[in-house]
Amino acid sequence: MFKSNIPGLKRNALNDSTLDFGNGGATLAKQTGERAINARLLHAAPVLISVALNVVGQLVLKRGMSDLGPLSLTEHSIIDLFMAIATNVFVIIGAFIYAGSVLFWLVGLSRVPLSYAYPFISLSYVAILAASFFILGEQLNLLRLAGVALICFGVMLVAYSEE
Amino acid sequence: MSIFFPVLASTIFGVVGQLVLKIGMTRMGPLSMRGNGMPAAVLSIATNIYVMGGLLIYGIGVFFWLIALSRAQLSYTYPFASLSYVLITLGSVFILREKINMMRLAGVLVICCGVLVVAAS
Repeated sequence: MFKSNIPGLKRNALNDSTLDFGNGGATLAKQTGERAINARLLHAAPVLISVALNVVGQLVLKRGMSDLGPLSLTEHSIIDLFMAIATNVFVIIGAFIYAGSVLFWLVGLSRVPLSYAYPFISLSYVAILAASFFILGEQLNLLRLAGVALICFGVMLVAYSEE
Repeated sequence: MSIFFPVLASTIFGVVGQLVLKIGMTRMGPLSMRGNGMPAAVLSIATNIYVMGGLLIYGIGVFFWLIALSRAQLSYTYPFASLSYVLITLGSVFILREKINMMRLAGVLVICCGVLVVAAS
């Protein structure tokens, strides 16, 4: 999973002095290997947390909006819509979780190159699909699965098109 | 009213909001988050017209997203969020005059195909 063919990441991971755990007993080669793996996991952590929070946030938002029922911009006034949305407890909690996801994404971006963080976005599409099925009980068909698979492939292509 | 209207409006407002936020943050330059740099950073963000405008536009995008969520399944609406990469790429080429390579173009086309397939589901 962690192919280190990304020059930026390798450089970050091996030179970051905060990742020096200094366990003196191990041989140098083993120590370096372990440290590199730990470093990569540490660097991926904020991005993974961001993806997880994004999925949870969307689920909570969806729960709130489902409770409000189908809303229409033509049948309801903007002020009524805004008040209904802004006073729904699930929407408020979901929005905070989503904000947390954005925060971790920014922390992640400050540690790894964008081209490394980007493919993790694909995970959110797959996780949303799974959560929609298992938690929300939505019906999935083959077309929807195929569409999400194509999107993931497209995101990967965009990610690796970084020179 | 078609479900596509709030979904597409959400994507467009989201992307425009991001672009305006980016302009504001670029003009502000790198900010320090450490120690006593924090209040100054918050103040310069809160008083920046681009950042506030960008947040407002982004907020309108979130509003449309919630309208969409009230009317369709999450597994149906969520994949449409990937259209933002397509819009960002179009904006980069036609507004920012950036050059994109074949691989990125292929990726954007594949994402479009995926969204069309989900839309048909």
